[in-house]
Amino acid sequence: MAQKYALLVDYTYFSGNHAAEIACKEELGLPLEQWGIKEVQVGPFKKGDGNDGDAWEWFYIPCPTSIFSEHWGTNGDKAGQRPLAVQVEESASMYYGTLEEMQAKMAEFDRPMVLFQL
Amino acid sequence: MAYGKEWRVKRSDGTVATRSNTWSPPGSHPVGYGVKVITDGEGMDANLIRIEGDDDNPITTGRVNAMNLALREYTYAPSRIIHPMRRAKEDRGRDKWEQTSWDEAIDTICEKVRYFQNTYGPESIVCFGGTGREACIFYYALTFSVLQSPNCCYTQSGWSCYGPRCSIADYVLGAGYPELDYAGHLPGSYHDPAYTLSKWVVVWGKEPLPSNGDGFFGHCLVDMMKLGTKIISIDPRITWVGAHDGNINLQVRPQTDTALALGIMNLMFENDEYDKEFAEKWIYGLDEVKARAAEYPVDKVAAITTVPAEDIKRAAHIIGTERPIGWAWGLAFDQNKNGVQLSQAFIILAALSGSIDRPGGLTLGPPSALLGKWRMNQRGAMDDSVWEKRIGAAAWPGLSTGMATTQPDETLNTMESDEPYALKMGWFNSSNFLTPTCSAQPKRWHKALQKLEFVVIQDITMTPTAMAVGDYFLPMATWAEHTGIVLTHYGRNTVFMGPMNKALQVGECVSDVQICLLFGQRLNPEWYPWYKPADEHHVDWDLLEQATQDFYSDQLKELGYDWKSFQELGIYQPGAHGFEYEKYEKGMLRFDGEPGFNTITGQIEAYSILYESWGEDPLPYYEEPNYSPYSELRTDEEKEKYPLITTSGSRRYSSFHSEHRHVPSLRQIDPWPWVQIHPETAQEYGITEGDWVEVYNMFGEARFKAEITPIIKPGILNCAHGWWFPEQDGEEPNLFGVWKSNFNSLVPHMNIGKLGFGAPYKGVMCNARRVRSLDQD
Repeated sequence: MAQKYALLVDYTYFSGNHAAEIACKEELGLPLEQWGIKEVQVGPFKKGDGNDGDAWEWFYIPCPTSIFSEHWGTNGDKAGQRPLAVQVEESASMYYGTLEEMQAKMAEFDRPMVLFQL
Repeated sequence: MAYGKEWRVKRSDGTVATRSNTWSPPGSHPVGYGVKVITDGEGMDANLIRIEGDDDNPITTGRVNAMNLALREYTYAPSRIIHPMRRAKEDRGRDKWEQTSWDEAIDTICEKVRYFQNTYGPESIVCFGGTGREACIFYYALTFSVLQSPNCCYTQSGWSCYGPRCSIADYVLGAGYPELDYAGHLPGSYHDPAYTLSKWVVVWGKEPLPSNGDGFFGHCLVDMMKLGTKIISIDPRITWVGAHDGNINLQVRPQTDTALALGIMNLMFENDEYDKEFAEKWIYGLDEVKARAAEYPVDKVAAITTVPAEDIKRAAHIIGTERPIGWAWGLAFDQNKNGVQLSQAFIILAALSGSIDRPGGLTLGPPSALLGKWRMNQRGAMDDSVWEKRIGAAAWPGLSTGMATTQPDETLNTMESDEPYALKMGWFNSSNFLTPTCSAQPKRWHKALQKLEFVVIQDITMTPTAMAVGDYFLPMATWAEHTGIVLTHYGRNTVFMGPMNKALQVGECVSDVQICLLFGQRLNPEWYPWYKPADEHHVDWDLLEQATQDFYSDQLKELGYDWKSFQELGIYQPGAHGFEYEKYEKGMLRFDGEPGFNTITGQIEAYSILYESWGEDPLPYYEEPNYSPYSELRTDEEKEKYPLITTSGSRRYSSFHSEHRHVPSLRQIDPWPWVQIHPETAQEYGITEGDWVEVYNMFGEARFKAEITPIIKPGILNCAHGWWFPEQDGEEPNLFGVWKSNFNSLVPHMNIGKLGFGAPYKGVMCNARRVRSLDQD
C-alpha cells in the first residue's frame, strides 16, 4: 500500500496567526482566491462561570485543502518534504510526516489534537 | 559561535538562500525573525522568490510571521515607488509626481537645507519619524547630525508609544527597558541552565502575539505556556492567550489600570505577601508607597475598574507568593494620561514580586547601547545654543530628559502659531502619520503641515501623507534589500542582535543609514566619514555599499567584531558573551560601578525624586480619565451624548499599523476597518454583524464594520487604527480615504500627563450609530 502522510495540529496552542496560509500561497504560487491551508475559527464564546480562561472557548484549526493533499499527500510531488507552512507557523503547533509518525506524535500529547490524513 | 553554516548558499536548483534577520521596511518591530531570503540569483539582477524560516535561530526557530512571508508581494507591488520622485509645491495633493535622479534630488535637497539653515536657522527644519521601525535609529541621526536641527519629532500626542515606558524605567528604575525574561539572550533558550521558567506571567495592556512589541517575539508566550507557564491577562478584552485553561483574566475598564495596580500593591502589603528582603534593600520610599497604596482598598478598586474584588485578590496573592513572576507591559501604559503613574506602579509591583533582573522575571539592559548609543551621540553635532531651541524641551523637562525629541503636542502648537519660531522645512523619515497611528487630531496636522515650504518624504509607497505634503519622495529598500543590524528594543535591552544581509536590489531604493551617509557626506562630512565619492555630485553605488558595511564595522568594534565576522557569527546573544542576572548586586548598572540602580538614590524609586523635582506627585496615584462618562470634568449633557467608551490600537496579524493595506494576501485577512462591540450593546444600538458603524465624539468621527463579540464588555468598543484605502482616489481631498476611518480624529490634542507623556488613545468617551456604508449615511 502507498505511503500515507498526515498533518497533526496541536489546536490548543495554534494561535491563528495566518503564517501557514501565506506560506502555502507562496510555496505553491497560488492565486489570491485559493488556499493550501485555510484557518477556521471556533469561538470565542463563554462556556462557564467566572472569567478565567477555563470559562472561555476560543481556538483555530489550520485546515489542509485538497490542494495541500495533492502536493503533500500520497504520491504528491512534495510528499515527505516539510511544508513551508509547517516550518513558519508561529505557534509551532503544526506537524507533518507519515501517518504512522504523526499517530505516534499525537500519542505524546495528553490534550485534544487534530490529525488530518492527507 | 556561528551557526556552522554559510550565510549565503547556492542550492542545487539554482536558487540562492541568503540567511538574514528581519526588521523594516515594511513596518515591523525589531523582532529579527531568522529567515532565508530565496532569490533566483545573486547581485543586482536577483529576484525575490520567497521567504523561508531559519531553523537555526534559537528564538524564532524557523517561524516567520504573515507580513514577512508576504514580502514578495510587497517588494513587487505595482504601487511601490522605486525611483526618486519630485513634484512642484503648487501641485501638492495632486498626482503630478515625476521621476528624477538621485544626483538631482541630492543636489536640490542639500541646496534647500543650506538655504533654510542659513536663512532661518537649522531649527527651522523638523524631521518626523515613524513608529517601531529601523528608522527609529536613524531619524535621530538624520535630524541631529545630518540636518543639524534639534527638532526631531515623533508626532504621537504625549509620545504615547514605548518612549514613556523607557523614560519611566530610566527615572524610577535606573536601567534600560525591563523585558519579560523569555530566555532570548541565552544560547540554550528555555533549557539553558541559567534560566528558570516563569511560573506566572502578568501580560498587561499588551497582545504580543500579533504585535511583537519592541522586538519581543510574542509567540514566546505560547512556547512558555506549552512548558507550563500560566498567564494573568490584564486587558479590557478577553485575549486568545487569556482564554486558556488555568489563566486569569482581569477585564479592566479602559484607562483605569493605575487604580488596579495600586489595589494589587495594597493587598500585597496588607497580606504581607511580597519579597521583603528585596524591598527593604532596594526600594526607596517603601513606607510612603505603602501609605499611598492603602488609599486603594480592593472594594474601591473593584468599583473603579469593574474587575471583581475576588479576582483582584487572587491575582495579588499569586503575584505576592508564586515565583518566578514574569511581566509583559504594553502600549496601554503609554496611551494613557495617567500612564506615568501606571509605569511607576508596575515597576514597584515587579520589585515587590522579586522579579527584577532575575531568571523568569524581567531582564534589564543599559539605558542605551550600541546603535542606540550612537543615535543619541549624534546630539553632539549641534552647539548648545541650537540644542536649547528644541521645541517644548524647556517646558517639559520630564519628557525632554528621557527623550531626545521635541514634545509632540507642542510641535503642532508651534506649527500652528509660528511660536517661538516658524518651521520651514519638513523631512518625513518613514512616517505616514495623517493615517491614524502616530498623531491625534490629524486634520489639524494636515492643515499645519501645508505651511512648510519644502518637504522631503522617505517611504516605500505613495501614502496619504506623502500625497498631501511631499515635494520630494526618496524610495526605501526593504530589509531584504539592504545591509543592516537588527537589535531588539533599539539598544535599551538587547536580547539579541543579528545581521540583515542584503539579498537583492530593487530599482534605486536605499536604506535609512544610506540616506544618512548620502546626505551627511554633503551636509556634515565630519560626522559622516564613511562615504567619500570622487565626485560628490554623482552617487557611487559600490562605494556606498562599502561605506554602509564600514559604518557597521565601526559600530561592532566594541563587541570585537566587524561586519564580515558578524555576518559569519549569524546571531549575537549576550548570554554567550558575559550576560549576568542581578546586575544591581554586582555594580553592573551604575556608571560609577557601585552596586545598585542608576537612580539618584541608587535604589528603585517608589518615591521618585525626579518626579518631585518636575512638580509631579512623587508617588503613584490614580486619576479618572478626563474624557470618560464617569469624569467629574464632563457635563451631564456630554455624558448623555457620549455614553460609551472606545479603546483602540490593538494589532492584528495582517498589518503593521497603517502599512500593508495594499498587499492583497494580507488585505484579504482583514479587508475593512473593524469595531468590536458586545452583543448587548449591539442590540441596544440596532447593530448587526458586518454593519457599518460610525463612532463619534466631541472631537471627530470614524467608520468601521461591526464585529459583535463577547470578548469586550457592554458599553465598551474597540476600534481599529491605521486605516486608509490605497485602492481609492489618492488626490486631495480624498487622500486615499484617509479621513473616513480615522480613529485618531476622536482623540483630543494635548490631553496629556504632567510630565508631557500619555494621551488617551486607549479610552475616550463616544457614541455609535449604524450607517449604510463607508460613504453613505
